Parts: sequence; C-alpha cells; structure tokens
Amino acid sequence: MSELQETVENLIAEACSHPPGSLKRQTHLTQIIRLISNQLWRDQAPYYQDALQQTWVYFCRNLCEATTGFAYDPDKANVVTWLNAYLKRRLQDGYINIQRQRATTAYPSTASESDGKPLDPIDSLAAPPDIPPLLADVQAWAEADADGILAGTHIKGQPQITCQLLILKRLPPETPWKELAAQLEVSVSTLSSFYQRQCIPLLKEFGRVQGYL
Amino acid sequence: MTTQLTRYPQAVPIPITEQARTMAQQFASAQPTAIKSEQVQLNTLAVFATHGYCQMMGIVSDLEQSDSWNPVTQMMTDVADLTLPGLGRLECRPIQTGTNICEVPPDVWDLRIGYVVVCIDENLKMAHLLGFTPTVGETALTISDLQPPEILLQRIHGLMPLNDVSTSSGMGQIAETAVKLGQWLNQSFEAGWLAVETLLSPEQVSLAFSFRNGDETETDTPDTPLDTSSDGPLADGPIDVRRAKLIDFGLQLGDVQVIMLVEIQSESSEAINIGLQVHPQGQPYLPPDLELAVLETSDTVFMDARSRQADNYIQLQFSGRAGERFRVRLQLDGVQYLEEFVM
Repeated sequence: MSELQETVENLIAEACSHPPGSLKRQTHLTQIIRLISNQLWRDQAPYYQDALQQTWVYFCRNLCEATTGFAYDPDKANVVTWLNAYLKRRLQDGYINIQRQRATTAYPSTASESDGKPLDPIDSLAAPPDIPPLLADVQAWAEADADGILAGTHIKGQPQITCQLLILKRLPPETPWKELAAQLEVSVSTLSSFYQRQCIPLLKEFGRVQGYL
Repeated sequence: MTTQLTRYPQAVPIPITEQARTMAQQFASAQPTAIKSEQVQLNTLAVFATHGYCQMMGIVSDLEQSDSWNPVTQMMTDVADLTLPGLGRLECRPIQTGTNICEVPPDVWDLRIGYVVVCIDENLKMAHLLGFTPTVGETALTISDLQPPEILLQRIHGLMPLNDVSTSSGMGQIAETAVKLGQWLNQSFEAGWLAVETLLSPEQVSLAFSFRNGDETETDTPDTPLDTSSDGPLADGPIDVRRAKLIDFGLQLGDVQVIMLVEIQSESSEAINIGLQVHPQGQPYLPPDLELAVLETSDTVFMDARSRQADNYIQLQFSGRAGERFRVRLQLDGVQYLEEFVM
C-alpha cells in the first residue's frame, strides 16, 4: 500500500468514526477529496463535471454508511477504484442522454455535427435584446421616485446623500465607491454600509414588485 | 490546474456543473455592460461552486434566497453571496487562475458570516475553494494569508445551535449555549429565533421598540414607535436587529405559550441597546403575574417587569457593552424559563 493510500485509509477510518454531518466528519471528507481528486478518471466529455460532482456527493453520502447506494467496502477495492467505477457509470449516463437528445432533436446540417461535436443548445437560443430593459426600468423608477422614499432615505445627518442619489450613481456603468466617497466627503464604508442596509432592500422590493424574481 | 494546486496546497477542487455555466451565462447576458457581464458570470460560478461544496458536505444552502441570484441586485451591486438558511450569508469571491490577490468590493464588506475565495478555471469547468476568512477590511485579500477551507466548516458549525433546547424550550430548562447577540448583527441567528413577522401579528409588531429617532426611513421598523428612550442623536449607521422566539410553557401549565422579542441596536461605540418584550400567543392578553427579569451573572435581578390582569405585553429596556453576559428569566406560577445571552 502506498504512503498516500495509507494516509487516505487512515483519514477514512477517522472520518467514519464521527457522525454524519459533524464538523469532524466534514473536515476529514474535505481532506480526502483534496488528496484523491487528482487520481480520479478524467475525460473531456461535456458532461464530465456533472458526473464528477455526482461522484463527490455519492462519496460523501456512502463512504461510511449506505445512504444512497452501497457503502464503501475497503476489502473490495480501494476508494479511488470505487469512485472511478461510479464516475464511469455517470459518464455513461451522460453519453446516453446526449444520444437520446440527438435522436429527438433536429439539427441543421452544419459542419459542427459532422465533426462529431453536438451543438450547444445555448448557442441556438435567440440572442437577448441589445439593451436589457432592467437598466432602463431601474433608472426610470429611481428618477421618478413616485412615493418619495428614495429621496427621503438618507444617511443620518447628511440629507443630501440619499438612496436616490446612490442608486443613480451605481447604475452601470457605475461610479466607483472611492470616487463617490471623495465627492460626497464621507468614507467608503459609511456609503456602502448605508447602501447595503437601506437602499438594497428598496431595490429588491422594486424588483419583486416588477416580477424580476 | 496542477500549477494552481501545487501553489495552493489547501485548495479544494469543485467541478462546475453545466447548470452553473448555463445560469452564469444567462445572468451575465442580462447585464447592460461587458464589465458587469463578466463580473456576474464569475460571481455566479463562485457561488455555484460553493453551493456544490455545501451539497457534498450536506450543508443546506439556498441559491434562490441569495442576492447573487436576483437580477436587480446582480446589476446594482457586486455580490456573490450564498444564503445558508438560519445561519447567514456567505460571500463567495471569484478570482481567476494566476491571481494572488482577491479584491473585496465595498458592496459586501459587512452582513456576511464569512468570505470564501474561489478560483475559477479559464475554461470555466473547475473551481477551487482556496481559503476562508471570517471578516474583511478595506485591503484586498492575499490568497496565501487565507485560512484553509476547513475553517469555513468550523465557522458554520460555530453558528449552529449545539442542541435543540432552543427549538423546544420547555420550562425549567436552561439553554446550554448563550444566544450570541453580536452574531445577530451579522444576520446569523440561533435556531428558534425567527423573523418577528413570522410570530407576531401586525398589531403586535407595531408595538415593538424603536430606538431610532425616526428621521431616517427604516424599512423594517414600524412607523409608530412606542417607546424611544434612546438618548440623543445616533452615530452613522446604527444597526437594528430584532428576533422573536416562541416559548412554550406547555407541559406544566396546559397550553400557555408566549413570544419573547429581543431587539438590539448597536451604535458605532461599543454600547448595545437591548429591548425585551413578551407578547401573548393566541390570546389577547398575557397570563397575569408573568414575570420578565434580567439577571446579572451573579443571578441577582438587575431589572424586572410583571404582567397585570389585562396586559397585552410587558417590556424592559437597558444597555450594555460587547461581551457582557446576562440571563433572561420568565416566571409563571413558580415555573421558570431561563435563557442566557452574550452581547
């Protein structure tokens, strides 16, 4: 058994001696992931990262006790072999899904398909309009300030520094905080703290009412 | 990524899923400028990677309750937060391969339980959690000065209640862990301490304290402050936080429940104002002769209040300094409930 493998086996024993969800269990799982990640199977499939993420979740759930599958059995295989077997099954799933999508999706007969690369469905989505309406909406709302709440919400003792002013200044392309602080002669932290605590909630409420979320 | 790993031996690799890339692309395309688009894309990937790590560890995180998920806050702030329900918001700052410094924008200098720095691969397929720091200042973070990602786990566990006493507060019990009011200022609350509106009726909420003088609009403070015993004008940006907890006198006394409300206000000085109220639950009035007392560490009564025949609430207000401890005692018919607080 290699030195690394021995370290990993010890960490596994240590991890499993603590209950699921405990700080010590999580800490040891993290250490094991860091140590063995380089040894897992790699390939260039577009769904590889998803398969790998599923593999890590499977590892954390089933290393010590069978939660979503069979628990890891160190007598049968070392942990890397165990995980690679799972990872390859997930990669197979990914491959099958792509084949199914191809079978049910009509692609234009362009060069990309004959290259063997599937088209990225995102590429075929309609391009978003040039100017996203969000910016114009927020700007119009902040300028109009129909109920006066934006102009009425200000830094204590600084009636000129209002949410209306800051929101308009922070609309992209935004004035940097440092520049604003210098202009308004207050500290950056005073400005940003006020913006976070007082103006962001108003912006979020606007977004909610407008159905942006 | 091998170079990155050898340079940062504490890094934890996290795959970036297709869903993460798709969402990041979608959020980015809604932004009005190229700079904002790139910022939102990287922020989203960092948040997703941290969410993926939480998923592995079995830690609940809620993307959709985070400002980083909201198109309005994406555009109006530089935000990469991930909400851990009941604990607070974790900021997940992205950096790109080859960078040793992580700038933290003023937008996220506070209201966070901590900061994790996430390196995003050039091809947007892998992320590495590089390290953690519980707080930030005005200077940029140097990656080699960060604590390893395991410290993030410690931080999260430090915010979790040690036991469930506080969720099923029976009479006569003493919660073993003190409620850390200092953490409330970072929006992290012990289990059982809920948003006031979830426990109290709007009429009851309107009776809650306001330490403020009232000339600054405050979105979560009622317009009809009952009692403003605070003194003088307040310094810039005082923080007001309040939470409520259901106290069940159940077993011993039939079905009596009351709601304890705690409001704290921290001024820029070390002084913390504290307001305590007890409201009835499901009844118009409190049971008569219910005592609310604040005890010093020696268990001597520092101040107390007692309900009469038809009181709809009782309250106490006092101030203290950071780090001070006190206990709150509720007593009815000889049965008592105690809860310890640290400021």
